[in-house]
Amino acid sequence: MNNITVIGPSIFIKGNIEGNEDLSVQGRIEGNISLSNTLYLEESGIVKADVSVKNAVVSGILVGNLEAADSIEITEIGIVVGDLYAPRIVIRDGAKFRGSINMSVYDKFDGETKKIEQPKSKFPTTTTKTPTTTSIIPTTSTTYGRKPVTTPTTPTTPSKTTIPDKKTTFPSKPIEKKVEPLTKTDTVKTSTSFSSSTNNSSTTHQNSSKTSSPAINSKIEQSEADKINRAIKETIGKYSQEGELDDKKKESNPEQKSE
Amino acid sequence: MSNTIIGHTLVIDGEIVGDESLTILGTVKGKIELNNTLLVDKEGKVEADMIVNKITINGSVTGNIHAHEKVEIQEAGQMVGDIKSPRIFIADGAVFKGQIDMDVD
Repeated sequence: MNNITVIGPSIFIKGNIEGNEDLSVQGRIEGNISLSNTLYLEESGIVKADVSVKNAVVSGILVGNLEAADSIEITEIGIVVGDLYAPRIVIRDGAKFRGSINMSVYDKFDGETKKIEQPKSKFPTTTTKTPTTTSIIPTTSTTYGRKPVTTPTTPTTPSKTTIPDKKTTFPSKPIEKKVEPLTKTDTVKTSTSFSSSTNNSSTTHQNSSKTSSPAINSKIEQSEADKINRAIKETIGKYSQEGELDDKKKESNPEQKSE
Repeated sequence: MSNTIIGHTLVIDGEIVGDESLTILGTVKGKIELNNTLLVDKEGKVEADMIVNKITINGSVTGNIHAHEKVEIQEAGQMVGDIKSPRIFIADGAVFKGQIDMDVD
């Protein structure tokens, strides 16, 4: 495992990459990447792909969903547009990010089981996960019914949960989620709600009172979030335009050669 | 110029385009276009059509090669496919099956 695969700055790969070693990307990749080790996306690297790895360190540009079994780090110079799934996520000061973050890994399974049917009945039956996780899942699912767009398990909650969603504008949602863990008061309140309230009725009451403080926070951060979003849009737009131009050049050249 | 290395455990399915030297220790399927040297190392496996400047084969290659300079199939190399190149070197012990065309510009 001492090997590290390097994709050099002038290399462009279009297709799927799979492997069990570290991968350092300085060039461009379009397609899917799935590694059981660490992906280092260097400063000059551009990846347009769905990525599934153990660890990811992003210093370049990543467009696509990123799923890490262990951790994700977006460094000061990293740009990511897409959704992040990982138990540990670091976004360094200066990094640019647009998308949603999901740190409770089991929510991914939650989403899958929802498609089938009831998540609560499904979780005890999935024996692949350790028993401790099953006790955590119901609480996390209730928190998810409170904030994001997805409809929660109980039918009573959606009517109330839709209200905070309407207040916040659409592009600010992912950033709001990102900010969420940083505000200590917020996390404290949620933790108390887990312990105190097991009934659905009590949680909804607390939710209505709680939403006031995040709403204020979100309004303050909304302007910043919009700025960041705009900056990302511009940068991504530039790169995508360049990328398309490159593509056209590269596509047109081989045809000429072959002809 | 940093070399691009595709490590032992890596499997790439698709197209690789580039201007720098490339070393393949793993598996590549699809298409390779390189304005430089391609080295397929001992455990490397390539199933692709290639357009390169120069290629050295120590591993296993299936596919057609169009080299602008030279093709080298080393002792451990195995190659199935057609070669189009002005210079070709096949070492003693190498395995090759296919057509060779040295009549290139």
